[in-house]
Amino acid sequence: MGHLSEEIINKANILLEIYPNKRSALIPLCHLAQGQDGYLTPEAIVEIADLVGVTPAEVRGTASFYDMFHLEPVGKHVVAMCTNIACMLRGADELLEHAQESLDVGIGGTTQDGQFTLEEAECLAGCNNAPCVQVNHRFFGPLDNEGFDRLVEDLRSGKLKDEVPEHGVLNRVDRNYGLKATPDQVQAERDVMESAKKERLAKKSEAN
Amino acid sequence: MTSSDQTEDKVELDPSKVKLTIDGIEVVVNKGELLIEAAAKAGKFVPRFCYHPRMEPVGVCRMCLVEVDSPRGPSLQPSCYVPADNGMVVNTQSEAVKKAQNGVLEYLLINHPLDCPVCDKGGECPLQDQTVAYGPGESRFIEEKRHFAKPIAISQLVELDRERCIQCSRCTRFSEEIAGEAEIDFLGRGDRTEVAIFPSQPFDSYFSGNTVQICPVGALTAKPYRFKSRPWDLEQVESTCTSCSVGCRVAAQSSANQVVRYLGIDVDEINQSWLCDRGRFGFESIYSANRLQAPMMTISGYLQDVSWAQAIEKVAEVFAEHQLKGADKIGIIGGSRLTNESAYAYTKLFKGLIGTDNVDAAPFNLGSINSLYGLKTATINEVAESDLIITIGSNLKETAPILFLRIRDAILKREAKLVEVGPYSTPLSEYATHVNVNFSNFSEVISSLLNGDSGSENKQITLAAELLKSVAQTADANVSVAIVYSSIDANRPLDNLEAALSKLATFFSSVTVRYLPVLSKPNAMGALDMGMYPNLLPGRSVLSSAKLLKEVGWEKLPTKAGVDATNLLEMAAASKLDTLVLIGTDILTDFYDLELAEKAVANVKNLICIDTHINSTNAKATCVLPALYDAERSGSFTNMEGRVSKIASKVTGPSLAVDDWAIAVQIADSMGEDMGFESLEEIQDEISQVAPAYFGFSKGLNALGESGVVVPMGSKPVSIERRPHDPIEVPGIASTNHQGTPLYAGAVIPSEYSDENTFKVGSVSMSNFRLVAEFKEITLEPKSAVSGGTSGDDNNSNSRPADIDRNICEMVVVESLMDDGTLIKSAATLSEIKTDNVAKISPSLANSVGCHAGDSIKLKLGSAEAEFDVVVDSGVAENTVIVKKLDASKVLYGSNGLLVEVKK
Ligand code: SF4
Ligand code: SF4
Ligand code: FES
Ligand code: FES
Repeated sequence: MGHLSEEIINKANILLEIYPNKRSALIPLCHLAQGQDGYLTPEAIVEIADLVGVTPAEVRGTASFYDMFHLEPVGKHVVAMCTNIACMLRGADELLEHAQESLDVGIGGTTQDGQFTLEEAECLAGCNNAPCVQVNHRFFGPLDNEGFDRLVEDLRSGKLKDEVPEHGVLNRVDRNYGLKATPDQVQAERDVMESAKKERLAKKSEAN
Repeated sequence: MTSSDQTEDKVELDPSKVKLTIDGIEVVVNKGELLIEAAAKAGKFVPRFCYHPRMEPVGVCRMCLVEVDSPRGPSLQPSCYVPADNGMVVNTQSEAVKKAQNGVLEYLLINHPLDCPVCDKGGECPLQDQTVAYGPGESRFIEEKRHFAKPIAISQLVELDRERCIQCSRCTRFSEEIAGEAEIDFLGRGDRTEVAIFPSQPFDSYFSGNTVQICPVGALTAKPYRFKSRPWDLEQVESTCTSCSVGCRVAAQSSANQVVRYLGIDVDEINQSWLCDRGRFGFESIYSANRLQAPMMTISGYLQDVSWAQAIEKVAEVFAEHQLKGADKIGIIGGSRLTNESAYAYTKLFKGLIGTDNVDAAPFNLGSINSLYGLKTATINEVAESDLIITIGSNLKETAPILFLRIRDAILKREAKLVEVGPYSTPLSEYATHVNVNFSNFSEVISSLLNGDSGSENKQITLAAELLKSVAQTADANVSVAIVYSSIDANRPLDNLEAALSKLATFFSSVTVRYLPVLSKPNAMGALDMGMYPNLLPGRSVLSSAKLLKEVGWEKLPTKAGVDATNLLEMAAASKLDTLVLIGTDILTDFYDLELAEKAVANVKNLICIDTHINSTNAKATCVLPALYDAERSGSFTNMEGRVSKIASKVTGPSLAVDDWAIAVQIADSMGEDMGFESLEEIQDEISQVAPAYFGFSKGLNALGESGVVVPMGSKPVSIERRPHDPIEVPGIASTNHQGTPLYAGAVIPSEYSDENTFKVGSVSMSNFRLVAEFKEITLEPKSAVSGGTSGDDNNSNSRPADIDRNICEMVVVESLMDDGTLIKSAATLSEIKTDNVAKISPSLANSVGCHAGDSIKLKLGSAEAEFDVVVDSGVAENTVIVKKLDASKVLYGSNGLLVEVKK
């Protein structure tokens, strides 16, 4: 009935369990939803809001803060090209220009065939491979113009489909749904913390 | 509160105080108080944008930076975020501070459109003012500014100009923190940050107008005020909102003799600067095309304008007849829109001069006068300070919005416990133990709550019962309980409420327990206090204690109690009543039994309406008299706590409309009687003399501070500290600071009106109330409608649901703030807001009817049928369906009872 798949709802329920406040699960849930649709659809936002107990305006507001979330439809492959200092020194600006020409889109745009969305990114922590790009959060680099074109060709032809999932999500979120702790383990940890806190407070009030 | 040598030693002793130095001035403030407030006490104003004294500080705008000395030397810190501590040395004027202020302002103005000439805020804008006072004077920014589409409507009421926004987050914090519905939030990042709604969900909070009031720039504007005036053209008075019985304090502002805006005033006791949108924007109804402009009479079948002389003569003639013979053949319904003074004038006219006791202000959703007067009243502050709050009946967000905010605040900030006994889930339910109830099982539910029925199937009852028990049996003498109560159903007084309250009082007899009635009409308390109810007389006294009144001309005062609204209408319907006087009540759309109202209107000989707007009832009147209302009149108002505060007039009304008390005086005059007063002051003096709970009223009234004074007035002077208005918190309101004077408490109540004779609830004596006589229950003829109806043809709806298959349910009608009553209908902008016509049902009922949320269902009662959208709510009792009191559900109000059939 809902917009998010059953699988995602199941994962979401596990995630919701592991945080002391439900709303802490907001960001991982957004990643999951984005994994399904490629971007955060209004329907998904409403469902996430419901799951974590905030308003849709808050979910949208929070997601909009992060470059990794998209509020508008994107292509199958989101190409984020770093232009921060290391990559810039190694020709990222020129590469970005080339990318725009060869894909025939502006920065932030999506190609007509819906295959590629081109983005400019800050340091991706891949400086050792500068200039580098991420495609659906998978790293490629160092790249020159030809390298970039080849990458595009491979993505288009499906040659890389095992390495680069469509509308890829962060591995980290997908993998084991975040933390692996069971609710019981979490509860036990929390109890320990609570009693330590109580002790501290008791000591403090004694001291006063 | 600057310290001096004498206080110095005390400071050392008092651990709750700290002493610090601000700009070389030593101040003593409460520990934990923020530097920005401490600076105010040292007489230093620190510029600010995001700080608001009624919200948690966030320190995001950096306008309030001050220099604080530390071991590592002075450093700039946000004074709205840093608490004062002993020995701090603070500098609010240093070079570094000035440079910071300069920088912050230059930075804020980089993207600011500077469209002051066309901005509503221009002239009262903290950004303008503080730029002039603390800013750089010139900008170095020559690049293109950031652009957004100019104002976009984010609701029917509020428009947002994102270019003007300085991201102070006051509006978003208000929505989340105070109103509890974050319908707006920041979107984006950096210079692209904007305030935004979620596209399909408008900012339709009942409290949206507050964000406009606290926005420090012209980013948020309210439609009713846009381009209506310039701040320097505004005149204002401090007054009271008369849209519900909370009685929030407002500044009524006008331009060119037109009310253009209401702003909330920060009064600690009541609204703490907030208003609901009904109260804030309802003033537009003053300028409705439906406003009555002149007296009218039905002449040869048509309602026509007539002169006042003609109208008064006609009315006086009718009244004089009743005065001579047949005082029991006239009845008066309505009065809760009146000021206390006007209510007194009418009571005197009808009870004292004509001699009828058939007066019912009909605000009455409580069941009995005892359940109003017989209990120790809580003030709103006392409710907010209680450890346990029990709400019985209506959804406070719909009936008393500001009280709702205050209780929500108490739960979140003070961790007060809440037990909610109500017909459906409310926004407070998530913090409460919600016990569902309907009209007929009310007594049962209260009993099982108090008996601690742990065997009850209803888990919520068990939980709530445990909570109540733990509080009632606590050994802690400081524990206090507040019970906030009203009827379950908007249409029907709850007959067994008094008994329930009495049980509660007994149950909590070992802790402090106080009660706050939520009356469903604005000045209902004032109207009752002035005697507009059978057997009541001004000042909370009863017919048998009329001695004082006789001295001021209440010659004809009857000795036998009259009848109430329902009975009056029954008499009228049976042609046993000759004259029906309606004061500001539209019984043909508002009365719970519309059939009865229709019959009454059709069969009564004289229908005299004193009103402000044309409505379906007064369109059929023999005679209609136009009255002033809202900011057109002066007087006083008594809210649900019994707090009297002033209503001040700001504008003149339609040229032929007259203040109600003056209408009463005119009529009396024409009847050859003398009311004994010709001005508001004279009425106030008379009330002071003869109305026991209001002894000393006039003297007290003229000295009222902004928070009013609670009746009955005590004999000791009360002084309440006025909180200085934050100059940017309520733009332009600083001047109202000078309107109030220190509180004056009333005269001593003479001993013959001592505590002994009180209104009683059950056997529990609540003698803190100085009341005048024991209230004797008025015996009324049983009203068949309320008990379920016994009249002939519609027998299927009269029995309890035997046949579950047919889904016969109890219908509970509940209030909504944005209803379709006269006020909302006549207010241009509010009238456009649509309230969804929904029916709330429990999950199990939804199951058995076979419908889901969003489907539509039909409710059937006799031959009447209405359609609603389904909301499934687990806070609704089994076999109960909740509908809002709206035109759409009105076909179902009749004398047929409560039971409706639910069909898909
Ligand atoms: S709209 Fe007004 S109140 Fe809201 S963040 Fe912007 S400036 Fe502040
Ligand atoms: S809560 Fe009541 S008194 Fe206050 S603003 Fe709203 S309508 Fe007026
Ligand atoms: S600068 Fe490009 S990845 Fe770090
Ligand atoms: S940072 Fe203190 S007022 Fe904004």
